[in-house]
Amino acid sequence: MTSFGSIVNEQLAFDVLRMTTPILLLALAGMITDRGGVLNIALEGLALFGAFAATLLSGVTGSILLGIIGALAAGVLLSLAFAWFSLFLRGNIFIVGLATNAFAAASTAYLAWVISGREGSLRFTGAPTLQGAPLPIIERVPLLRVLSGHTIVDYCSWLLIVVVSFLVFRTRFGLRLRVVGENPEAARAIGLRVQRLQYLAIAGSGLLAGLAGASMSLSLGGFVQNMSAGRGWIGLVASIVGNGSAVGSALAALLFGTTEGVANSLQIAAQGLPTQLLFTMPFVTTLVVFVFYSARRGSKVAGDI
Amino acid sequence: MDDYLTCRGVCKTYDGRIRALQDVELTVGRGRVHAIIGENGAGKSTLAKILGGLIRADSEKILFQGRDYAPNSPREADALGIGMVHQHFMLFPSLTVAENVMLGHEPVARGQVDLARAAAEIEKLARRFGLEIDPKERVRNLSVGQRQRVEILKALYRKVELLILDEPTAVLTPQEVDKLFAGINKLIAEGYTVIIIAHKLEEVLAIADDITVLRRGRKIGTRRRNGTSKEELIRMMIGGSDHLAKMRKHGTPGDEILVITDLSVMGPRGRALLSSVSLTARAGEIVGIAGIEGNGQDALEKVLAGLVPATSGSIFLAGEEVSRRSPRERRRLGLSLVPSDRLAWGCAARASVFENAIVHHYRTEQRRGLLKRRSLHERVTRLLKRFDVRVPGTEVPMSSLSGGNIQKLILGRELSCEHDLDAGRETAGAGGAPDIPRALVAAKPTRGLDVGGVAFIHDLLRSYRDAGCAILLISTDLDEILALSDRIGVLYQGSLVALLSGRSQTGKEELGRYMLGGRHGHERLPLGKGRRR
Amino acid sequence: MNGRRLDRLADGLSLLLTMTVALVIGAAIILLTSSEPSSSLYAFFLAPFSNRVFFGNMLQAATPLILSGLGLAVAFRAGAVNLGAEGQVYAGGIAGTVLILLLPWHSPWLLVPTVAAAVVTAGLFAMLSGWLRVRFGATEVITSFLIGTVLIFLFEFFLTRYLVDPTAGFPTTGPLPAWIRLPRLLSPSSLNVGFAVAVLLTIVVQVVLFRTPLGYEIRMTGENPRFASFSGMPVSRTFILAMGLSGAFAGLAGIIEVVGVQGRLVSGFSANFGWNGITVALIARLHPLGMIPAALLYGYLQQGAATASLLSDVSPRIAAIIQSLIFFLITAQAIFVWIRRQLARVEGPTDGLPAHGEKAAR
Repeated sequence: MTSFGSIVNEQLAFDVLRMTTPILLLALAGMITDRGGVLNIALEGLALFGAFAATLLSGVTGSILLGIIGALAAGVLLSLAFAWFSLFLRGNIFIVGLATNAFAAASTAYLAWVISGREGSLRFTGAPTLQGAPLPIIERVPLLRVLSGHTIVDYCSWLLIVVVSFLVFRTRFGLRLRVVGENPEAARAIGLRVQRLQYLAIAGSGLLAGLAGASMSLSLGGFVQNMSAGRGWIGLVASIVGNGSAVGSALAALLFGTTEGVANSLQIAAQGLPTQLLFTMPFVTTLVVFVFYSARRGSKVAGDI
Repeated sequence: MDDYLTCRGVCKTYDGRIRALQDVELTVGRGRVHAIIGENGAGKSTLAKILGGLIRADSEKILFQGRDYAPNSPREADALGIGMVHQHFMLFPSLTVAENVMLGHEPVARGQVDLARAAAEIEKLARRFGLEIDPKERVRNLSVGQRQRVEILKALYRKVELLILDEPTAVLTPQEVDKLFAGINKLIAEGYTVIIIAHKLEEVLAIADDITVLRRGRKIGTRRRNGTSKEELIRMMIGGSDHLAKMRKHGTPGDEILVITDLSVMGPRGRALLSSVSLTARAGEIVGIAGIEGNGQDALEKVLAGLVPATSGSIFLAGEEVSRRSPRERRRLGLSLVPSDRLAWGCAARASVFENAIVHHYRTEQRRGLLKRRSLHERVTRLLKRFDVRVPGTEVPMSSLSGGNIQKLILGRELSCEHDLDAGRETAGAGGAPDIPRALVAAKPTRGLDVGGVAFIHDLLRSYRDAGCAILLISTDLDEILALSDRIGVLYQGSLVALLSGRSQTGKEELGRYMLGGRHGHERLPLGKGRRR
Repeated sequence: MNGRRLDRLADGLSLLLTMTVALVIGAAIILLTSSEPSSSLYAFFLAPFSNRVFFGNMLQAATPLILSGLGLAVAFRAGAVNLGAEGQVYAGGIAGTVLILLLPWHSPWLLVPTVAAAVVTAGLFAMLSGWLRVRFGATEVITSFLIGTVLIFLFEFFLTRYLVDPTAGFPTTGPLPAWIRLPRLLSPSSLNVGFAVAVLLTIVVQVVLFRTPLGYEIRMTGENPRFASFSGMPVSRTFILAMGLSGAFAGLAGIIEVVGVQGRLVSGFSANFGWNGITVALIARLHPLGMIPAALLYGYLQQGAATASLLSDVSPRIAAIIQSLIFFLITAQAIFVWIRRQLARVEGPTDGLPAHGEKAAR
């Protein structure tokens, strides 16, 4: 059996940071909408849409940057559809979220087939992938060097923790958004444009989710159907457990990313372990954490289930 | 009278079905206090919301300061000079006073919100109008009277000239009402104009210069305060005689039925919702529990219903302990409860009248697993008839009924659990009568009802009292408490701070004092198991 | 016409509008992406009715959706959201298969413990979510999804580790014994007794939901749990039970697919039964009897896509796109409200009674 040390090492920390990125971005996306009073079930679908767009655009144009921009645009577009159906057409926000996921899964798989003729995957030969960039001084410091060598999207995601925090807690937009999330009726009575603020929050989450998708497909070098693999939900739980704070959500995302990284390492290092069981680790952890969080928070009135 | 604000032909129909306002005409003079009164459903709030920019009328011609006035949002209304203070405060408890007041008009510096500047401006305004408040205090720590001040400051911050107050005195103690009226007078002195929406006549007559009466969406008339009387106004409001000034019949109370000893309920974060409350309700009497909203009535109601466990203390019903029993068992033993929040606890709004009415009988009325529809229908018909509930049919959704009918149905339903929920056994009734509960807890039974509905329910409660039921009446309406109660207790911050006999000339002023925390004045009464404080 | 009739009419019309729009968009997609549009359109829209095989398969495709929809509707009615139905389908399928492979009986009676195992296993996992909500306040929306995902992984694990037939080229067990296969109704199509079972259960659920005390408790718990609790109903127990039933139905759908259609346990045997069940339940407005037409519609789409991919060059995934579009559109409450308003305009406003929940609340 392989030794503990061969698994828990700097390589693991590095991998964990890399794998946390999509979850982190999705957690931030969830946090923004959560502050606006919207439970964003559609994160999964938004990320998928972004992943597809990134592959398509980067493959066709040969430019990573255009791929990322495509992912952002796709995320925003789908999120606006989500917003339109739930806010303007007044669909149940839950169900519209589920519909968004279903639509994203179905349409990306179908388009992949239409373009490449192959069922459920899309890959362009010679397409650019995200490369890691070393950080000049840090890369030589032991332990800290796990922070170096990540892709531009990874670094952006860490920066975004601060940006999102500032946006939500210091700006006028953020104040109004929080107010809308706390009591939308009162906000409307004051004269705040509740729907518009919610639209903006949803579009913002679409942006971040699209970026999450890009990070997934551009690292892999292609699109695979359902490649978001439940990360949208894990990111959502991270944002809930993070209690509406960007830092809290980020930490939760890191925790869940760690389980993914560990599962991954174990799969490579210890060949005997069944992969499917390892893949359940992030979900089981998420479930347990979520239940603990809910239990601690709970203030139930009798009759409340 | 200056034609400062004139409305003509204001109409509003909801959903193509309900005519809330029909051709209403209103003229408000500058620098005056104008009251708009009427029963529930008369259209006062709708009119206020139209003036405040919250909703659009279907047709109207409104002139303010000589110019067309048709705001599309509260924001526009503010900008045009009319601000509204709502009945249900639209505040954000987790934010500070300053943040609440400036929301929507936040001063910004270097991308961030400039809290200091806002706080300074608010302090200036507060001092000018005698509305003392600390801008840095979080709203959740404020009293109701203070929160109302924040709401008023909100309007003033936006530089309005005409202020609309929607049912401002509904949640205030008598002392706070005085402070509010003083503030209003100051506003008038500074040149503002005030419109008050209300249905409490005494207060209206105290402060208003002009009074407009609405009924069923139409304007009945406008009077000056000096040129009218209470009787005339009531006649205009309901077109009938006044039921409120009814003589109280004093019955002779019997055995102790409901005995509450040292009852305490702890809420989240260690806050005591109810502290060592002790009182007794005897057969054939009504004990009224007065107090300002939020001082423990909710907890008392829920713990009596069996929905929230008591942290300590006990509840006895006719000698049996019920403190740990389920709602169902309490009902079986003869304790009925009519909840204050009808739509939250008392019924399922979207379900049909039939489904709401059978909730205590569906278990017993079944055969071979299937519900016995016909006998259930018969029961429901009898219930509706006995309690004067008017419905177009039993399959309509509960929410389509008027508030009065909903309340009557719930009251009737809770008073009629004659048969046990488990087949066979009957409820222990008062004086052996199977269809009268031993004890009834009625929480805010007439909230939101019109004069006719209030009269019906008051009569009902009196008749049950006379038949031997022990009634605990929890209400924030002092008139109701005084009209019905044989004894009156006052809740303040979870404790019972007074227990008085209704027979002495206890007035609203005295009660108001206790409601604010004064602790003197327990009369010497044979209280039985209750403890004197 | 009174208010309720108008409501129902508006409901029907908005449903019709939704279907039409979705189908039109589907047709447009086919037109755009197929190189032989006319034969593709024929294959998709009309071919399912053209012979016994296609027709029978269409009805069969509806079966798991009827069951899944019934279960989800029961849960929704109690206020519970079951997003783990997909995993529960797989759990049911594998639990039943394990019993078939373990028990050495050579008779159709083997179906009894098989189905029982499927239903109970799937039901228990769904109940777990319900219990977590009642005990810890953890919303079943998230826990049921997470548990469902884990179930799918576990399914794959157990299948490929312990049950797989190594001679087959893909993850599947060997063919299951002939005596547990469900009798066919319309050979050579895959239509089997399972369809009749589904229809029967629809009627059962309709009766239970509307005519029994249990159904009453389930509905009131969903309408207003505080009211139900105050009135003495066992709200928590009902909630968990409803979740359990929802899982049980999903498990049943799974095992019927295995012993009725596939004849073996295959990886990925569920064509989104758990997810499409949600849409079916919503189209049927949570009415049991409405599941049948709603599921038939989906079955029709499923079969249409299959024939279109068979006879022409359309991907079978076109069905999924149209289904997700329908999903989107039926949620648009505003369409219903708008139609309702237009209908009311024809009728004219009424006077008097403040019939609004808003006013009643004051």
